[in-house]
Amino acid sequence: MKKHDDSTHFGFKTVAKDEKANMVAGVFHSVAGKYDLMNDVMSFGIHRLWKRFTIDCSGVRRGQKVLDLAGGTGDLAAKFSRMVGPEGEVVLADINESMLQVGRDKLRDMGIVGNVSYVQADAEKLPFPDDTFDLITIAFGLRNVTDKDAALRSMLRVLKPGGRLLVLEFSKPDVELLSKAYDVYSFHVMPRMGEWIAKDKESYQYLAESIRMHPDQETLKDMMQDAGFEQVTYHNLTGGIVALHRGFKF
Amino acid sequence: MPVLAVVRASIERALNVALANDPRAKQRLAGVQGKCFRLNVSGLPEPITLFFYADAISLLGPDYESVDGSVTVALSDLSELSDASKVTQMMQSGRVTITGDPVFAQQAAQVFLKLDVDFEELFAHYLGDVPGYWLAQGVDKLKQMRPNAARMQKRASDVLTQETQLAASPLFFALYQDDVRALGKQLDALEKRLDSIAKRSSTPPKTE
Ligand SMILES: C[S@@+](CC[C@H](N)C(=O)[O-])C[C@H]1O[C@@H](n2cnc3c(N)ncnc32)[C@H](O)[C@@H]1O
Repeated sequence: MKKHDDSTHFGFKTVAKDEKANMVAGVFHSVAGKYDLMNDVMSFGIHRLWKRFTIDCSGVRRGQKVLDLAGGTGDLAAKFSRMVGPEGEVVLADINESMLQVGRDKLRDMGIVGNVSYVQADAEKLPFPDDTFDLITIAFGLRNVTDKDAALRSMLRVLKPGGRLLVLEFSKPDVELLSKAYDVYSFHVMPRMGEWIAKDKESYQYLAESIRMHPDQETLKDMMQDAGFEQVTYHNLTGGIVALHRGFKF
Repeated sequence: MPVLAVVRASIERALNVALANDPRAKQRLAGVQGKCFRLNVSGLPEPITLFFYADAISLLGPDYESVDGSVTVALSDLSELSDASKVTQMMQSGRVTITGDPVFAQQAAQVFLKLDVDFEELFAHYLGDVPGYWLAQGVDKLKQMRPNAARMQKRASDVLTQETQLAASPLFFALYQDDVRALGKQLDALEKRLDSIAKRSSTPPKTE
């Protein structure tokens, strides 16, 4: 059957575009409280290394303005807040109130106050003026966005000339065997762990499926270029299970 | 390399604990706060890249490019760096290269010189025992050092070779293609076990 233009993926399901945002919201409302714990358990803590690499590739400096988009519980925002210092600014933006709340509480408990603001925003329609940020990061967020092209264009708009976008996202493992093992892990082990630890199998089933449906490395690179980003490159991490894409606005 | 990233994280934690326990650390950090310093030591697996905050540091990877100042020196010359009288001569003879403000380099070093840290122990994780010992000496016992540079260099490269092997340790099995087949099997077995446990415990969970 031919897919209608107003439909999109929610994991492996095809749903109406205007439904996806609500369904994704449901997933993250549901996982917010246990999100950090599950992240550590399911990635064996390796997500911390992927995020460290993202920081390394950010080039961020004191005094700069950073947007951590789909920032959720704020791991990256916390680090950027320290790096930009009191003269800089970090905006932690997420479409989901529950995730933002968990992020806000976590950062406050870490003593991070003053240069971080929290904004509930949809990546497709960012509520910021043109040319605002030196750096935008979106970590494990883009695959949840309904219209990824619109989101990338929106990010380009709010980025300053000379600024950079970093997209950290699950991708396609570059070795067939790794790909298979990873499939077993994500479709069988991950939802089961979600059921046991977070008592929420469906959300983790969605997360696994959404990983598979996300564009591969080259496709995302093309999408970033089509949106207007320049010098787009990517770096595979953990054999391509995750990739970090980087693009600039000139 | 993921192993280096893990090691970097643990060194960072240890240095931050030491900084937190040093009542005068904040004073020393004040001068370098918000800046990034890189120490390139030829023969080491990667440069040491430090980002300074008001009360702590981050140890960044080699991909971070917004560095405010750097020092490049051979492993065998490292210990001489703490002797300010020798630095100019070393610069003139090209044995050390400093970019950025040399005062910043000195201030960056001061942050660590007075720390109560067993640098030997700390850097042993990073570089293996011998260069770890050597770097430690470089930090707090420089004056008495008479290392056999050539031997150290050789040992350092041996250790680095071992480090590469270490990278394929079981913890990081998922990262290494050779182990993937085994991983797939383990996951299959795990899945079966999960299935059987799930069947056995299929009574509905209690709600709180
Ligand atoms: C998997 S979490 C990632 C959180 C965090 N960046 C991290 O790396 O740990 C994905 C986040 O994307 C957010 N999200 C989903 N769709 C979004 C959209 N259209 N705009 C902004 N955020 C969105 C979710 O609410 C969720 O917090």
